Amino acid sequence: MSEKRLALTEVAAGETVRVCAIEGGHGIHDRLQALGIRAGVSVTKVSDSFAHGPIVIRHGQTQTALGRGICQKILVEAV
Amino acid sequence: MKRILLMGNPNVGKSVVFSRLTGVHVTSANYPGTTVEYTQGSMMVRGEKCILIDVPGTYGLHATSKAEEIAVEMLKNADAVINVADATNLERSLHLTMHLLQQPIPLIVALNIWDDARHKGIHIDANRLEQELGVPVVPTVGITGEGIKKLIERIPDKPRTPAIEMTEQDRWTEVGRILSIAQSLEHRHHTFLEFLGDLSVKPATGIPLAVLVLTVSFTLIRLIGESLIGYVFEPLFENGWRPVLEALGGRMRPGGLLYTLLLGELVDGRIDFVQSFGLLSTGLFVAFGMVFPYVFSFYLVLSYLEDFGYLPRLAVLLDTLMHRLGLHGWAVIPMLLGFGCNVPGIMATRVLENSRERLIASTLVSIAVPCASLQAMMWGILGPYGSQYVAMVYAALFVVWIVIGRILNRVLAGESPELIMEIPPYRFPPLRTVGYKLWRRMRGYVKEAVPFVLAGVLVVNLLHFLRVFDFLAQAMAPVFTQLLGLPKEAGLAILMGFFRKDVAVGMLGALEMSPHQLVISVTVLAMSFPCIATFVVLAREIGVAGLLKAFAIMLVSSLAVGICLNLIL
Repeated sequence: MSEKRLALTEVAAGETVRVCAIEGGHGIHDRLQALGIRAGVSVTKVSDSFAHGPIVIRHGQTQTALGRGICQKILVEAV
Repeated sequence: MKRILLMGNPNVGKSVVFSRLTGVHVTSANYPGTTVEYTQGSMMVRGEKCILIDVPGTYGLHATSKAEEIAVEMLKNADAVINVADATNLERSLHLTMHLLQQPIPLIVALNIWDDARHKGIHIDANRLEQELGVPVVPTVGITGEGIKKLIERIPDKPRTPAIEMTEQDRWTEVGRILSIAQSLEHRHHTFLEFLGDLSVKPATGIPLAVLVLTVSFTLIRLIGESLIGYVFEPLFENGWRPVLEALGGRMRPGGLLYTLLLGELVDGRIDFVQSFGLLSTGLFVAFGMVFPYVFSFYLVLSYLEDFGYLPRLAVLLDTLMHRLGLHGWAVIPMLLGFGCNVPGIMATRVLENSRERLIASTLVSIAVPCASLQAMMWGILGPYGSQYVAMVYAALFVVWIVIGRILNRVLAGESPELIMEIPPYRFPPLRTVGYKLWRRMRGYVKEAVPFVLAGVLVVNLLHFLRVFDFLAQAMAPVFTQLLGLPKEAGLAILMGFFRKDVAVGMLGALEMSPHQLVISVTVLAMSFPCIATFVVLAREIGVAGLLKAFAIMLVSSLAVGICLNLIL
């Protein structure tokens, strides 16, 4: 039974979720993958978007800032 | 000679390891992507001289970015690779190692930032890691030099059998397997720095913090700069240098060519360091007495913020604003650097992704970001009338920055790409590395900017002596007197700005204008011609076509702003 999928933008700040898919082309997929953001990885949302600004997430030992548009393409589920 | 590549993810202390290995210090900063252009040096390995190349930071070898393309290209004729891994972020570092293992080139892993990993409760068994990877692994601490000697000793020279071809998914699985064997994590609470790091990116706390950081930085820069001028440089010039110049003057004929060139004209019977305009009087005083202290204090504060890791967080907060100007948050780096000197500011636009962004950012830096020299002179000339006049110039430049950025964003084809940026952890930078960076930057100022100041003063003096200026002033008078409400001599100063803006502001100061006229002329000067050094770098970075565009925008906007200010004030 799979949980409902959400875009990363819809998750509240402070919550930890698991990435299930990344929509969009190869370019974006590869860049995120190289940073370690890929299906199956847990990410914690550190700060939410402010005035359509970027979202900051923590994954493993790293923090990454991602534009809001990119986050809409990252589908996640609750852990 | 053998070629050894130094490779790793961005921001793993690669440049610091490079300087340890070669003894050549390169500029490194606590933000990803500093090394856009590569640096090379030489090092000795077992008595043999080798070339060491600092390859731009990469996350993999897909050639998806400019940096990765360069890395893939360089690998084709490399004799060995030193892979710098971040011990505090081993998973992502090993992902690149997996890519490198598939190359037949001798490989060694430097497990850098080893000390921080211990503090963070990350325990890595270097021996097990070495067994699993099948290549030497040496723990290192770049900033103290720990492990560097051992790293050099263990650089392998025999070709390796490349690992089997893997898919991206396989690589991450393999990294996960190795980590489960060689690394153990201690559960621990957030440190104060991590807590502070989170606060700085959350909008509710981050924006007040940014205002605080920028206010404190600006105040510090002013305080340090002014104290250096008041307590060190002015006394030095007045008590040490003036007697030398006066003795020299006694041996020459006042009013002669040599006297005018070296010492300038006397004001009230004595040498005036700001107004005399001799090479040895005003020339040296502008370069060292007025500008050097501010450049020093600016770079001191900026270098610390940079190495502390604050700038990427500022980039996150300002991303939305920068998008309005057709840029993304990362463009705050060239902007901030531009406040020191426009030349490194424009060079830093290389971290931006496409040529559209680079054109916008370079144009904005050269028009609306006043460099430290210019700011020092602004304060020097306008400050005595009250800081509200200096504030007017800053306000005008800020409005220009926004308006030109918005217009360019509308007019130029294309869109600004979205932000994908790693945020490094906060680290208290060792004073030694901050100090060394400061030293490099100050040496750059003395070597590259000071000759231009002196040349500028010399040219002004010669033209003045030959009365060329009077002719030019006559020809350009209508523009300045009618449209801008300035005395015709101000036009000359603004033309002079092409050689050196700080010198030109000095000329304005000697004209006895009203504070409002000074505000207008200083603003027009700040926006119009870039100094010759900026001009050269602009041509190199955005091409001659880009330069001409920037130049046209400059002329039109500075004239427009001058006219507006003349109407408002």
